[in-house]
Amino acid sequence: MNHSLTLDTRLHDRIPHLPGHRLDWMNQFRQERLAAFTTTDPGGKQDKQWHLSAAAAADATDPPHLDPAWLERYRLPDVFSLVWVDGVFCPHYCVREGLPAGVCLKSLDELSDAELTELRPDLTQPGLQEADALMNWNLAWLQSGAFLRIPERVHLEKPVQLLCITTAPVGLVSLRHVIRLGRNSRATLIHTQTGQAGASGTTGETTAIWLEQAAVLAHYSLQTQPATARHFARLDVATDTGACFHQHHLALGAARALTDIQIRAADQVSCELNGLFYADGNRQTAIYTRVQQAGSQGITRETYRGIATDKAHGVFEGLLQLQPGVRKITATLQNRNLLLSPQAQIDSRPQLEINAEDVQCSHGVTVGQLDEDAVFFLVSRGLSEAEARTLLSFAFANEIIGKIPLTACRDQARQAFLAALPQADIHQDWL
Amino acid sequence: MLSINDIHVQVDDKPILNGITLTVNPGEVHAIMGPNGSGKSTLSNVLAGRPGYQVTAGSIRYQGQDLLTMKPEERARAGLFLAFQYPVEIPGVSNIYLLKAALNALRKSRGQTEVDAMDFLALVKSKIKTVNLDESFLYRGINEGFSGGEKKRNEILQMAILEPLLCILDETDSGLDIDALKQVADGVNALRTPERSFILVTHYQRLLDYVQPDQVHVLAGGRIVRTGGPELALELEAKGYGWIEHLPRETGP
Ligand SMILES: Nc1ncnc2c1ncn2[C@@H]1O[C@H](COP(=O)(O)OP(=O)(O)O)[C@@H](O)[C@H]1O
Ligand SMILES: [Mg+2]
Repeated sequence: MNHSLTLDTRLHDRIPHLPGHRLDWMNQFRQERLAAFTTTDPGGKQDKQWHLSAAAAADATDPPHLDPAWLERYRLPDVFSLVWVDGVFCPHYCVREGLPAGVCLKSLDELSDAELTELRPDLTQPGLQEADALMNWNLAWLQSGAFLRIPERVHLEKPVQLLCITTAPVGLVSLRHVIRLGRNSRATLIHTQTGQAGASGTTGETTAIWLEQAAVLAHYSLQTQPATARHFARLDVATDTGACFHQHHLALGAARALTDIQIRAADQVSCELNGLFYADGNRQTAIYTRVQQAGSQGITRETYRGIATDKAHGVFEGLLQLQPGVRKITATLQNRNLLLSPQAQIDSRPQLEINAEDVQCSHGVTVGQLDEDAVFFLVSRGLSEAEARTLLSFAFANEIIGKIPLTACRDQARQAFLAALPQADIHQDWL
Repeated sequence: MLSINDIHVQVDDKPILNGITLTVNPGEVHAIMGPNGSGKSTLSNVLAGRPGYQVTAGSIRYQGQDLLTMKPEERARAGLFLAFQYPVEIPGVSNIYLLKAALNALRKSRGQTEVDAMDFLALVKSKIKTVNLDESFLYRGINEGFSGGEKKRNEILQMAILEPLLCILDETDSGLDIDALKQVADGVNALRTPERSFILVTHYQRLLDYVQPDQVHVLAGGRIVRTGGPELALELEAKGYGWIEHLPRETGP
């Protein structure tokens, strides 16, 4: 591909500004990933548009000023937080006072070369599946990201929120977050990906999560990028025996949004994935999940919903793999989708690969429209037809949003969804 | 209040109502009885404006307006209420949200401001007692996981809060045990005023033991075959529906 040379020179220019630039292994790693990026087959998940935009520019500038009031709309009350604006870490916006002893919550730029080197395997291993083009690009350009480590048996009471905000009209953001929970530790991680109106760059984030024995992580991710921006996220979760990973993922924004979740479940792991996407206009949104049951006696529950309207296109692909010989697995995969316009499209592809006996697995998929009986019921109570349809779309999404146990997070997600809906004259306080 | 004048209704080109004429005056209670498939729900749905029914002849006037040209929401805002035979479940929206949205839709159409939150809560809490539902039902999804009887009582709750002028109850009594039936009847009786009228669609006579109708109409084959007083319901109860098929068609009242 002819853009590789451009990127190559640009990477050289940028390296002095990127974390670990004095480390040979890091520079080497970036070069390898860059080389891989230019040769990786984008495969089914991406297309050339991502590549073209990736080749377009790679300019991380000084952190722009952020209206504090705007930031506070997205920062949840009573959390520890790290903030990036256009990919640039902003220590002055972060809240870290009162972190329990032994808990490390830093940006990668704050780590010493020795600390980065210690983190090398976490930073460089792609996870369950080989890095694809987008991930290679992300790793080559890695500019910042979070490092969270929770020691054994520590229960972090307050959630940790990672706020990644884009404001610039163009540009590329490339973050990698590394999260490690020690044995029997517990934490709540909130990942907020949003942008100001007019932000139209591409944000790529990869997250590597390691859950040691019986560690419990509640993970919330809320993506509300403006319809001009592009966003891709890859999440790799590796678990040890008895770990618990419960996630709620809402993809509500971005012209193109792609979320790729890859989980390797060991013995007795509880994995619960809940997700919702909403796509309108010409937007395209995709969620891919792959849960590999490598151990026995585990529970995996996936519940995803999608809504597409106008000419939008949504994709859900859920792959559940049970490795040969695993036993006593309960796995369910549910995907319901709502099409609100004749030109909207949703592709749902659940896949179960079961090479095991003594397991209970089920999946169910629907793609449908609003229930006209319900529409009539609501108009017969005095609501206009438009109000009725909006309320029913909301209801469909709210069944997923309502499952979010963390109140502040749930309210924010609901607010974000209502803001995305047209004519949503729906009042939070009575919901 | 309501005058139905010789309406003929089809669904998918199949004639279902074949000339119904019925006048309901303010404050009256009319019972419509008839065997399954006689067209009772069709009549209720046509009055409420459900799509999918073609009125091929006849007219309906409601409060001086041509009902058939009104959208369903306009009918609701003009005080027409249908308690559904099969209430839908809408998980994801709480019951109390529906009640408030519906009440505000009516208020808005009358040029009133939105209901005050505290007043509304007080209103709902007092009304829910009259239908004997626990307050927890307010915060559940609309009819989500409600039993048949709870759904019917929830319809009555909506009716009690919206205070319609014309209440149409489509077999609200079906499938209820005697206690639930009494609660539904109490709910109806509590709403009776000299202005408010009711059409009670029912398959059985027993609701009429608790709500005294002014007139009873027997619907069969899409026609009103007989009209009488409360004694007609008792007669039907005693004889069953078999005998009405042999009756000649009666002209409407
Ligand atoms: N949507 C419909 N499509 C086709 N036939 C219908 C429809 N609704 C009602 N019918 C038919 O019309 C007749 C009357 O139905 P309905 O009004 O539900 O009767 P009732 O409420 O008295 O039991 C029945 O024969 C029924 O099958
Ligand atoms: Mg019926």
